[in-house]
Formats: sequence, C-alpha cells, structure tokens
Amino acid sequence: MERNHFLIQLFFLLVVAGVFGVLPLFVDNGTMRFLTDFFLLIGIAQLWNLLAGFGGIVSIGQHLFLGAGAYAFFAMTSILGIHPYVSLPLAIPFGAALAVPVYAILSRLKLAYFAIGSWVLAEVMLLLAGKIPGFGGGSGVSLSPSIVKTFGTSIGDRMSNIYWLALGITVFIILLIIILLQSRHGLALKAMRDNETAAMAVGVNTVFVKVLLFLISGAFLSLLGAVGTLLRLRISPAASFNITDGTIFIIFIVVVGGIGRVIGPVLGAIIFLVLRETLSAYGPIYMIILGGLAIATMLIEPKGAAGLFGRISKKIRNAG
Amino acid sequence: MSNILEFHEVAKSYGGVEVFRSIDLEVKTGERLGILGPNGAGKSTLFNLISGLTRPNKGKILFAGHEVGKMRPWAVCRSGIGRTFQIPQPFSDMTVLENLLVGLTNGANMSMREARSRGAEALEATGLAYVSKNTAGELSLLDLKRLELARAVALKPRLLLLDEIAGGLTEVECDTLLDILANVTDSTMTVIWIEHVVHALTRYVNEIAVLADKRIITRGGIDNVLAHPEVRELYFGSTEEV
Repeated sequence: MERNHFLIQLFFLLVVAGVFGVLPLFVDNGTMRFLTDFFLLIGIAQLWNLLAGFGGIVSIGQHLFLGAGAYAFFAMTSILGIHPYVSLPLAIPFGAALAVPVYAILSRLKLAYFAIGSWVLAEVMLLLAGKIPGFGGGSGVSLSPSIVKTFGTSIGDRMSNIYWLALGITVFIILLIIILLQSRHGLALKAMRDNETAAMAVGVNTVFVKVLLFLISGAFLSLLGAVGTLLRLRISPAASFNITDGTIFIIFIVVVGGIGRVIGPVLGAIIFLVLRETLSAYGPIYMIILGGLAIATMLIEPKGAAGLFGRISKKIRNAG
Repeated sequence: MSNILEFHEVAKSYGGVEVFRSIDLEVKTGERLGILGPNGAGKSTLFNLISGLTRPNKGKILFAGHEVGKMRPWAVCRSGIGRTFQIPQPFSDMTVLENLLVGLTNGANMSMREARSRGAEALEATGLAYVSKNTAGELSLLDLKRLELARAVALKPRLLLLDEIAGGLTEVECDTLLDILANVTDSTMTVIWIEHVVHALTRYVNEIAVLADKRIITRGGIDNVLAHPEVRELYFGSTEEV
C-alpha cells in the first residue's frame, strides 16, 4: 500500500515535471520568469517544511542560507573564476558546511529562542555581507556579462536554462524528500512530526535526525540562493538575505498549504502566487490579507489546504 | 536472581519543587512490580527518570549494571527498556502498523521487512490487527492503550514500564487488557506497572511499592503493603482496619 503510494507520487511528480519541462518551447519569457519564481518558492518552502513540519525545527532565519549561497556563487564565479555550471553544485557542500556551525550555535537554544536566534544570525550575516571587500558593500554588485552569458546569449535562451535549472532542482528536492520519507528516517520524521517525546521513547535519535534535516535544508537553500541570483543578475545584502521573500512568505506558503505534508508547499505556493498576482496592487491590504489568511488557517484548518483536501476526499470515499 | 534495575540515592527536583529526596530501589529480573501512590507523588517522574526523558539531580540509575540516568531516551530504549505513557501518545497521523514500524526500524534497527513481520505479530497479540491500516488518531481509548502496549512490547524490551495503562477503562476493558498483558509478557520480561486501578494491578504484579512524601514508603507483598499503616492513611484516611 505504502509502496504503491510512493510509486503514484513518483509517477505524478515525473509527469508534472515533464509537462513543465516542455513549456519553455511554448511560452514567453515573462511566463517563464513567473514559473521560475514558482519553482524556487516551492523548493524553498519544501525545505522549510522539512525542518518545521517534520523536524519541529522552527527557524525564521533560513534566508541566511539563500543569501550565503548567492554570495558563495558570486565568489566562486567572479572572484575564483570557477565555471558557473561547476559553481552551482558547489553551493550544495558550501551550504551544508555553513549549516554545521550555524546549527552548533542554534541547537543550544530552545523553541522561541531558537527561532529568534536563527533570525538574529541571518541579520548578522546580512550585515557582514555588506562589509566583505569585493562584494559591492551595502549596494551589492552585478554578475559580469560573461558569467550571465554562460546561461545563454539571448534573454530567451538564458531564461529557458534558468527555468530548467529551477525546475530540475525543485523536482530533485521533492524527490529527495519523498525518498527520505520512505526510509526509516522518514518514519522517524513522521513520528517526530506527530509526537517527539514518544518518538524518542521508541528509539528515534531525534538529535541525529534534526542535524540531518538542517544540513539538507542548508545545502539546498544555498543552491536555490545561487539560482535566485541568476534571476536577479546581482547580489546585494538586502536582496540576497531578504527575510520577506526568503522566510516570511515561505512560512505563509507552508502554513496555508499544509505543514508536514509534501503537497502542502506546492498548494501553498499556488495560493500565494494567485493572491500576489491579484492583490499586490492594493499595497498594505495585500499583506493584511496574507496575514489574516495564515491566522485563519491556523485556527480553522491547521493542516492547511492539504488537510482540507484530505478531509474532503475521505468524505467522498466514505460516501462512495 | 540478579537485579535488572537499581536506584541509588536518586534525587529529583523541578526548579524549587522536590519530587524525590533520595530514592533507593531494586528490581529483580523477571519481577512484576506495581507502583502505587497519590497524584503528584512522582510516579510518572520515576518512569521519566528510567527512560531518560528527565535526568536525576543526584544519584545513579543502573539498568543491567549500566548507568542509564544520563543516557538519552533513544539510547535507553535501545538498551532494552520499553514504556507506555499515562496519556496515550500515538503518532496520530500514521497508521497503527506504522506506529510500530517507527520503533522497530529506528529503535530495534530492523529492516523494513523484519519490522513489518514483527509489527504484525505484536498487533495480532494485542488485538489490534483489525485496525492495522487505520490512522492512530481514529482509535478508541482502549485501542490507544493497546497501541501503547503494542508499540512497547514489539521491541521485546527486557524491562517494560506501564504507566496507568488501565486508567479510564471499564471493568470489561480492564479484563481484556489484563488478558493481553498476560499474553505479551513472559517470565524473562521485567515489568513495572504504575496504576491507580488497584484491582487490576493486584491481579498481575507480585509486589507493590508505594510512593509518597518524596520517597518509597513501603514495598513488599500485596497484602502486606495494602495493610501498611501509612498506605491505609494515604488511601483511606485512617490506619484502622476497614
């Protein structure tokens, strides 16, 4: 039964990836940019969901890794002269390596202090990024044309390549999480999500699992931060370490979509983008509606859209 | 028979609230020990100390000769101590079988295939096989208690800690649970059972210890303990025979 469920998930993921994969042949650059944003949001939200939804690690400073990944990518390509297509995967070990000292500091803090500590660390990194020589200070610096052209000489080619990169990485992240959830660590994760004390009492090494999650999250956020830089074509402390885009909207996506479910961030990203496209012109009202919807979800349907769809489909099954 | 569990001058406080001043306790291998005591006497704290969920401020807790007082809960579990919780703690969104697989794959380090086989056996023995594919959050109280028991015994612990497993059950449900308990435990498994439902406890255990006033006030055979003046004072408000 579980194996069938896994195969269905895998099949569905590959079909959706295939459909999105051929889209650049038919859509314009604006649509590709919109969808690239969509993929990046899903990827970042999946990683936050992995931490908070399964591991119970509530960090509000994960934009630290997005920013660090962006700066590392710039350093590797523009300063060290490493080929951009080699620099991108190198962002993964960089993020994992950075996650070690970050977690070593944060793991000494509990609950709210952990969350606040993660935010403070991200802000410290933002300030430090503006002070490092060679990175353009507070206003940042653009990627050189030669690096940008590695991804395509025309805007269309470049956009297609970045689109495929974002799609591929996000599909890989989802695949990794689905496979992880099938393993003994996945059972441990689901158990920790439901009841951490009971999980420890039946032999789950919750410290190991949390470290593993933090490393995976840091590694792939760093990669997504590097890909995000290709969209912006520049790094800057304010844009690369942006708490609103990198953490606050992500928390909204996970909460509204359904925390602790793989489908949750996908549904949440769709809801977020629909709201953004229809309401962002209204200024502060847009943010008030986002906040109100997140609070309403937590009060009325804590499992988000995924939980709501689950309940509806169960009722339909039972009625049948 | 050797001791499987020993408490040596164990003290425990939460902030300024002292739970145990200095507890000494020995439990022999294969023994079935019941623990009685009024609310707030520290019965669940005793189990939390053994299972690593909280640490003693002073003293030593030895399990099979090894100190477990400073070990993490998962390491305590892997050393052979299984427990249930007073308030059932299911993995609510997982199926009943998955609830067992968590411990079997992570705590007992079994392959998924072995774990499924052992899990199915434990569910059969505890009468839960019929709901193995249901999510744990849908279970009745009796089935939740059975699940607590199944999750612990599936790991085949050498020491089983039962925390008020009969609490809240009807007379008939208690009888069912006792039958299951007899079925899933054997003479090699040491059992310590905290319970308020005395008639259920006395049908299973060989000895009883009573916790009160930050210490074990008495321990011994069931009749002797229930006749002990301090126990009578605690439970009946009088030292006179009723």
